[in-house]
Amino acid sequence: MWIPIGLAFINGIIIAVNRVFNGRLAKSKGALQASFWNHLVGFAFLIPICLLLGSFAFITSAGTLPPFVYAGGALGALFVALSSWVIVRTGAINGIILVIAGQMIMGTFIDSILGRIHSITVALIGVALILIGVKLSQLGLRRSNADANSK
Amino acid sequence: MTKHSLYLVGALVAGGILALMIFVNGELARHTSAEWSSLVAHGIGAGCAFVIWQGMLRLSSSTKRQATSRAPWWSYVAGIFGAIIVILASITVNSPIGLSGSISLMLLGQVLFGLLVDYFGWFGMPARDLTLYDFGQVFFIMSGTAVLIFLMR
Repeated sequence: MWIPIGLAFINGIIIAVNRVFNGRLAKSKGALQASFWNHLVGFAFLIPICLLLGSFAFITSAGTLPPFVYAGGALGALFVALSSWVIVRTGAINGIILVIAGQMIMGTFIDSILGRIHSITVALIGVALILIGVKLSQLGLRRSNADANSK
Repeated sequence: MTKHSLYLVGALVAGGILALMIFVNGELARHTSAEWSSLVAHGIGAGCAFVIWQGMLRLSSSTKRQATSRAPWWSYVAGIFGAIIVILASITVNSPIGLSGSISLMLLGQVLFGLLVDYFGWFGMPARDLTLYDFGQVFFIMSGTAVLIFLMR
């Protein structure tokens, strides 16, 4: 239990670092081109790793798996396009809480379909607490922006 | 529907797509392995991103007009982090913490690391003091995450 908890937490730190690097790339090239380079560099990086681990043997499983398992790459590219279109229009501060809300709601929904959640009410309390937290940081940001503007 | 509410729904849907993506990559990993899932997702993702990028260059005037410049070489390293992120997420969604537990812990990691960056001024950011809002944010996100992980399974 504590190992996946630690891994998911560390993954969050890597996501934060990734955003700094990718944000710099997107500033020069735009979100869509940055997304392309992101995927291509990741793909190139994974080829030697999969060769080393013998993962290319899984290529034989391609026809036997349900087709939806191959939708991840398309969903990722779609997310970048949709979020970069939306965020410039809602503003980063307003957009991010909605993206997180959508993510938490869909995550809990899928877990409940899979029977991995015992009480949907308790799950929604958890989601609500997280969204209150994200909202608080927005209020803090608005205040510090207002302070900076009044100086 | 007003234009503004269309954008709000768009942001919600984008978040839903992100969760669905993590789940789908996790399903591929469950049948094969985490690094294979990441490789396949990045290969197909590169193709899709290329089509969207080139399509928008031709269709959208704002994308066409967007000025591009040379990016520092290290900004391309983002892709390596992306590869590791998919591997780790595919491992944790198939563990007892599930999809909702993984998403909330990834958010917590981002928030806590983000506050460290702000406080110490890493990556060339201006350093700033932490406020009561920051501590409140961490408290609520941590409580919600604990509810999702420890009270649900």
